Amino acid sequence: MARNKNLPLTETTYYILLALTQPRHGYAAIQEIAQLSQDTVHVAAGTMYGAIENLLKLKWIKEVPSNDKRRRVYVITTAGKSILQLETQRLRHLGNLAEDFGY
Amino acid sequence: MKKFRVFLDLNREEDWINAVQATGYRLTRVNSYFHYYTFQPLVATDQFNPYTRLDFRDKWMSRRNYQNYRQFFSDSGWRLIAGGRHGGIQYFQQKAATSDRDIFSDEHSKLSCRQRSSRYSALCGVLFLLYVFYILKMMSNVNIFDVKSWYLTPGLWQMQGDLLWKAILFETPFALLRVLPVFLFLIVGIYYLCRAIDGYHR
Repeated sequence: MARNKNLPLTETTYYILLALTQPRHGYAAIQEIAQLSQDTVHVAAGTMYGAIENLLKLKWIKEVPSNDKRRRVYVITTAGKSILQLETQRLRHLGNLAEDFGY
Repeated sequence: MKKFRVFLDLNREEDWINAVQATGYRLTRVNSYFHYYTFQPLVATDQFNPYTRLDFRDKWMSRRNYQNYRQFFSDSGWRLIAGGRHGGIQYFQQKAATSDRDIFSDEHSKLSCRQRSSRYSALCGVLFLLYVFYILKMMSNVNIFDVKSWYLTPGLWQMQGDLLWKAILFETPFALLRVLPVFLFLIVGIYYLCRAIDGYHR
């Protein structure tokens, strides 16, 4: 079975897609990721801005209207959800495999 | 304190700014056309010695996009010192000691920022030099390396004594207007090409 060419995702991309399950602006996503990862993953501003641009281009996330004129708000798209699903299956498979080996 | 410096590379520029700041200054202004950097000495009310970091934008941004960009960095603890929505280098300074130390948290995103800058320089270099070649072709009777050919007045060099000097004095502004833009574009074009070549080397 040919694997989707966008896989595997980077840890940062994976976390951003997870965080944008709810509509959030960029900095809110950074904070959410820090919390989700128990402060092990901290995405810096320049890295986050570039990642959002890239995900918008891939159409994995989209902008949604908001009341805050100064901050754009983004949410995951159907395409983003399916890539997240594929990556999660891949990671789950790896996890199960490792378990079989006694890890 | 004002300093003039020309850099071919964003990392070296950033390192230099932070090295100057480490001696007790903070960057307050950058003139990106004339490459002047203005530093102010830290005062007692400054609680810390900030880091300055460079981002590069290769595209024009709408007013709203640029506001979003600045607001996002501001939320993340970075104040914009210099830069504009029409692209180029954006200088960000830590707002507080608790801000992140860098605007990039992985090598990949930092590298792609530096690549954006190299590509942009390559494009600018080619455009400036194409323009210079085009102009030189249009002014085929002027050789920019031969000062005498800058003066287009017929019979100027056959004039004698006083008349020659008066004529030269009168014609020189026109001659300079004719060739200075070409030299300027040539220098800027070569500068951009050097930036691009330097970027591709690493």
